[in-house]
Amino acid sequence: MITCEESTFLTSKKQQDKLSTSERLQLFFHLMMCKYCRRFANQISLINKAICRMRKRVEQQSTHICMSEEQKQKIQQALKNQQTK
Amino acid sequence: MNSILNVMAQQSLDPNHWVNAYGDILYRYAFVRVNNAELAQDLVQETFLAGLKNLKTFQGKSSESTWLIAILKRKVIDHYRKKSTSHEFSMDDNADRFTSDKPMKGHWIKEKAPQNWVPDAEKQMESNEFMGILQACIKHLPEKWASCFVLRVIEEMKGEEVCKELDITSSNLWVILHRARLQLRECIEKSWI
Repeated sequence: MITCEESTFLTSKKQQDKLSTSERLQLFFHLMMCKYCRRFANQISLINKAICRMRKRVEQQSTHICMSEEQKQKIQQALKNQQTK
Repeated sequence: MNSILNVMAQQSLDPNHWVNAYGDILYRYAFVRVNNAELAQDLVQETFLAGLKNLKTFQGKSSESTWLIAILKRKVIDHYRKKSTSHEFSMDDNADRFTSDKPMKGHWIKEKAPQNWVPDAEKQMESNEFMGILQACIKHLPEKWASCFVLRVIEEMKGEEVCKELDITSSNLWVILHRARLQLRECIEKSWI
């Protein structure tokens, strides 16, 4: 029987990698019996969805981000300096 | 006709034209990832300078902006790699979460165990308020873990690539991501409920 500590680790690992058959079974039986680890698995899944959403929103909301004229001129100057070397 | 095309070709590989044409696109890419105006500006400048140095290697196979973004992407990854080697002391201790004495070794410690979230948690997690909490909690991750987490989970880089870039093994990566998720979940629960 795996512990909660091990079960949470397998839950995490499942996010990015395939579990072995024995890992999957052990996790399944532990989750059947442990409400805290069930909550953990559910909450991790909700958080993953929220992270996807966050990424999309950040992309959409970033379209107004620009450099100031000052910042641009500073960079243009640095490029000119490099070119004249 | 040929001379017009030549002029256009010359102008498009003109660094003076670059900042106006691509500056904001690059800045946006950098800022969204490093969250710091000064640093983003420095990365953009370094990208243009690197592009200038390596003009000869630009073969015109991709567009200029694609080529410049690839250079910038490299610099952003280097930035994450530097952060991941930080020796920042982590306050997180997994021993606080799980018991270490038998017979219940490895069991959740009651105070740290996941609480019941509200039934409509999923819906509430679509709010801007929650987005703010999520972003704040991600910022709270120790630098050592933040790089792994951002590259693997947010940028969705492949596991092997992350390991190669940050020079860690895949078991290191799993452990780091796991600890990051434990802390993230805890932080969200504390801030939100």
